[in-house]
Amino acid sequence: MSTERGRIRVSGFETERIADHDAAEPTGDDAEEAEDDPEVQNRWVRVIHQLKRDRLALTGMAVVVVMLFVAVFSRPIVVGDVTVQPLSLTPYDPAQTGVGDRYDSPSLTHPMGTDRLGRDTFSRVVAGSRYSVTIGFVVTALAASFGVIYGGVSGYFGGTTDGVMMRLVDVIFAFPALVLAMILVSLFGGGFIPLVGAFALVGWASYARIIRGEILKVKQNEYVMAAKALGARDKSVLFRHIIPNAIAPVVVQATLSIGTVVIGVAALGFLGLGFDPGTPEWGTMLDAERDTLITGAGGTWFWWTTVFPGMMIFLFVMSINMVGDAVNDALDVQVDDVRGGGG
Amino acid sequence: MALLEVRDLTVTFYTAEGVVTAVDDLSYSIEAGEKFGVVGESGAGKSVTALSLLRLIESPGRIESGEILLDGDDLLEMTETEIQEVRGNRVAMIFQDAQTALNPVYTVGDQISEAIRHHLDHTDEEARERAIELLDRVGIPDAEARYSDYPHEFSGGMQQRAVIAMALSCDPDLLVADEPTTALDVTTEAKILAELEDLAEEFDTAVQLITHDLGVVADLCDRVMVMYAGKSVERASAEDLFYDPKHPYTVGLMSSIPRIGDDRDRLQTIPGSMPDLISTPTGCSFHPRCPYAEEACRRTEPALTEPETGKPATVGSERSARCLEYTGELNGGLDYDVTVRDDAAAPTEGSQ
Amino acid sequence: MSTGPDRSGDPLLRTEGLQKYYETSSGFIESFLNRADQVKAVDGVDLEVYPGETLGVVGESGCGKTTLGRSMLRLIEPTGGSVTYHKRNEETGENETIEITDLSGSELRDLRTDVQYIFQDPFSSLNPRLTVGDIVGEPLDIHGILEGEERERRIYELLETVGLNPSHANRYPHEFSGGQRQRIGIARALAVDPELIVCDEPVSALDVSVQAQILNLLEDLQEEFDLAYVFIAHDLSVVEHISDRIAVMYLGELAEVGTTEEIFAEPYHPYTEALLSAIPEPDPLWEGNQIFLRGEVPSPMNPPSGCRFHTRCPRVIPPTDLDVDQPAFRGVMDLRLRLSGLEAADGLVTTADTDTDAGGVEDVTAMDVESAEALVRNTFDIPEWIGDGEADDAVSDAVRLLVDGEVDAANDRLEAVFESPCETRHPSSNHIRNTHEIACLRYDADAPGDRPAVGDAK
Repeated sequence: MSTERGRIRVSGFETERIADHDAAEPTGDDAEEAEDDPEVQNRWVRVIHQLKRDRLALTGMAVVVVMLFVAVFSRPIVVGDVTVQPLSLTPYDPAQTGVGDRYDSPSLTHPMGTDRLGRDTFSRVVAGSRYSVTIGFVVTALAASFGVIYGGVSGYFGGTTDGVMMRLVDVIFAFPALVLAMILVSLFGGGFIPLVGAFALVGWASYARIIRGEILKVKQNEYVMAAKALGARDKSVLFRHIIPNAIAPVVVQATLSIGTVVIGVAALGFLGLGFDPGTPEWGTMLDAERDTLITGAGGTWFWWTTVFPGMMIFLFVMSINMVGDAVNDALDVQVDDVRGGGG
Repeated sequence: MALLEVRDLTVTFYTAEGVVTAVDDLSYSIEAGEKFGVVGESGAGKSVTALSLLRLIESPGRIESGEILLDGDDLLEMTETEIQEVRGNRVAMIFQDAQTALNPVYTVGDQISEAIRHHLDHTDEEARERAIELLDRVGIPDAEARYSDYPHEFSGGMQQRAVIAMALSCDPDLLVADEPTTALDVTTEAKILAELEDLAEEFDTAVQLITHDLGVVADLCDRVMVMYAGKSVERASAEDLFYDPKHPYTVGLMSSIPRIGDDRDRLQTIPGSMPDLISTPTGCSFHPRCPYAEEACRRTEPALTEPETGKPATVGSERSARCLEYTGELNGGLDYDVTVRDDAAAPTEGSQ
Repeated sequence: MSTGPDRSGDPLLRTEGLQKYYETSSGFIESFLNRADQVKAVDGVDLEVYPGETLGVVGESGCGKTTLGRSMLRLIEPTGGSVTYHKRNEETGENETIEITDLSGSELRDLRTDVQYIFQDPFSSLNPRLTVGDIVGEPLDIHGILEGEERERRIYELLETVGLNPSHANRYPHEFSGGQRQRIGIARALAVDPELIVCDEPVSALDVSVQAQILNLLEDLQEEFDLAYVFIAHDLSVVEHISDRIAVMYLGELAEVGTTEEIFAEPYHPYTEALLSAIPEPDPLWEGNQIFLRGEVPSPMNPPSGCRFHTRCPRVIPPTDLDVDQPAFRGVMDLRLRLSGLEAADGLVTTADTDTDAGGVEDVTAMDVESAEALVRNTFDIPEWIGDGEADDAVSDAVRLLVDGEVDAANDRLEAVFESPCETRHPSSNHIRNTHEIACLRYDADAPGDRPAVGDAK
């Protein structure tokens, strides 16, 4: 028994004879694999790689890409007097009435039949992709950009700034989004621009809230403090260290909400708000043919006038959600790097 | 018969990168009332061993083979109902992170009396009284008032005490403590270890203490097993291990720790790090980090051997080490020294 | 440790009365109404760091070590006091004095090339989205030190210095183990060629063998680049190993400062003594006497009056006119602390005695005075006869009041007799020797009460 400390001495454990090669190597085999594995280079490359392996996401992606393609090439695009895009995929002018009989059932000349005014439903559905799909993307891009900046500032600076800025977000959340959009549209009238404006105005708040929460979390990481200790400026800390680590949930939310916006626009269209009644927007088309949903004139059911636009909405939203889920999973998988072990 | 006997336990995890053999053919035994230490660095398989004892290994992990005999009953053969009867009742567990071991929505006292009611036939009132006694016994002042506190109202040390109280509530035969004091300050650690020692004595409970801290092992344990890369590399009584270590990894660990009163400028440490368990090195898994490694170590996997006789070690062997030195397959020998300053009473051991 | 660095010249860094209070309320309305409580994380710390030395800072968690390290470098803004940095001018060889606490934002950024910080958590201190090369190169970019090929070369050189393979510069942190990540963090700190590095628990997240590797690396680097370290840690054996001097912190204040030899030998601050005694010794036959402190570190929101350690101190000083021995006095102090936190007298005593009908809970208000007194004395380790008539009377009176349910009155009765100077007097730092300071009334010549003769030590 002893009360003295440090009595045991170990000597002769001379490790100099082992070349200290190991300390210089990343741990074990995964690191070796990494050498041959170029995908480790970039996170987004990794995400894309992950998506490629997900069949469902690929299908969704393919549908979305085809729809985007259709949206661009459905009708010629004329800017000023110059025709930028001369191609037209629609066999008929979607606004032209009487290209066929009223309520022609689907045939070779009219693959999706015709509507009550004898307009070609196929042409209208194809042309409609331009309204519905683009509005989804434009609204999301606008809302996400504004939301990220707003929430970024709020989260990074914190304190009173944060307190005031987040109260405005609370105000927006106090209204049901669709109702608020409806009010805005009925105040400022329908059409493409007012609709984009209305949906962006109600949509940005959720991005602001997500990125703010994420930034508050990322801010806790010591590498943020480390960057400050190195003398980095606020701007560089925010854009180099914080936002890249906080953006993932925003990307997921944005992908998923494209579908929500499309549904929202269609819903307003169905309620007779939004676009002018004759516009070949999917929701508006449904609204125009609403009475055929139950019984058609003369006891026949003209299902093609509603089923095809409805199916397009369903197909697009479903596809974009599949992509969104896959992006979510892919970003989740490399939630990184926390592995134990010393070295 | 030993209270607990683990024979040839192998646990694997199926991960995306490959099959991880976290525990590899591990055997050891714990006698009733004994304090048994399991030492090693992270990745050695200590915690997996502990979880296996209660069959708490979850997918993607799997207990591949082996036997875990508690008083002669094989835990691995039991039905789900039988093993639930064992958990908490005969074998209890304490984790490193006391905060997550307590449910934040119930009061500390309720959680303890719940455990008591569950395993013993107590009325609510009896369970409550017993819980208060236990809280007091593990050193929580004002136990009656603290009974109705929520876990977040306890400090880290108090939470760990409460977890110990819960573990002891059903008077288990074996207490498995996984790094119970690692998250605590030294002053609290010392108190909890002393408390644990007293309680083990009082309740006549065997303790399997898992830790990376050699100081904690020396303080509490009777016998020690050193683990490296899923295998036990040395088993000995605490005194033998500290005064006369037989395995180079044990020696390396002991020379890596800074000791109070030791004026070495540099620490002689083990270079590199624990190997990846997906593909452990060939031969002796320690050879890339071992200063005494020879060609033979690269090729031959050493078996657990009794160092004195050179015979293969059994679960009952007094001490054992997994090094080719003891089967005579090493040419250069192990030329380290462990000396103990002053005190003639302590055994002094020379080099191998 | 044998050849200490030169401490005759100016210190590299000096803090005077450094103070960091946190507001506790996070609420928007509360902070608006100024209704916040203050946490005194660091409260008046005077400390010097000399060139080339390692100053260890130890203390239990919640003692303000990290806050001290960070406010020293203004990584968090101190709320009071000053920090002075003596910059050596390479050309003139003269020292330039910089008040860190007065620097503007851009001046502070320039200072970051002289003082650096290494973080505890090797996992969260590296940005997972940057390559190792970019992480180590970041300080070079920020301060415009090197560009292009020279920058690359410097990064390779730094990685090699810390024992990493330079060819891994374009890998991401998650491919490395904890120890290797800590090496990356060290390389990043070294990039600006600093004079002083604050190491905040750099090895506490690492395994034993890796911890030793990093400690060795830090010592090699100190020798090679003539660095000064402030080494913050809770592990005293690590601090003893690496430090030239040690500062012991308790609840935001310094308890003791001295060279490593002085800290690890008598005379001790009672807190240091307890800390040292508690370190588990890796020696199964070691039978040192461990001092168990009562309870845990109190909240820094409302720190105890006088000496902040008096609520747990095993050597708390009795009033001069009272003739009691230390354990008995500590027992009375514990009883008083317990009473001051108590709402009703019936919750005072809990016993583990299963035989009592009360079921573990003793209600003193339901007992007769004599057995209550025996129970209280037993529970709080107060002997039946303290040795001073006045003291024993006070204890008996207090128990009588308790039986009547008068907790506050009982507490007042005890306080009138047992008030320790430690409760009322804030200890100042006393120079024991030149380099050794202890903030304890036992070493204060002006304070009342017995004190150990300082000259006797050694």
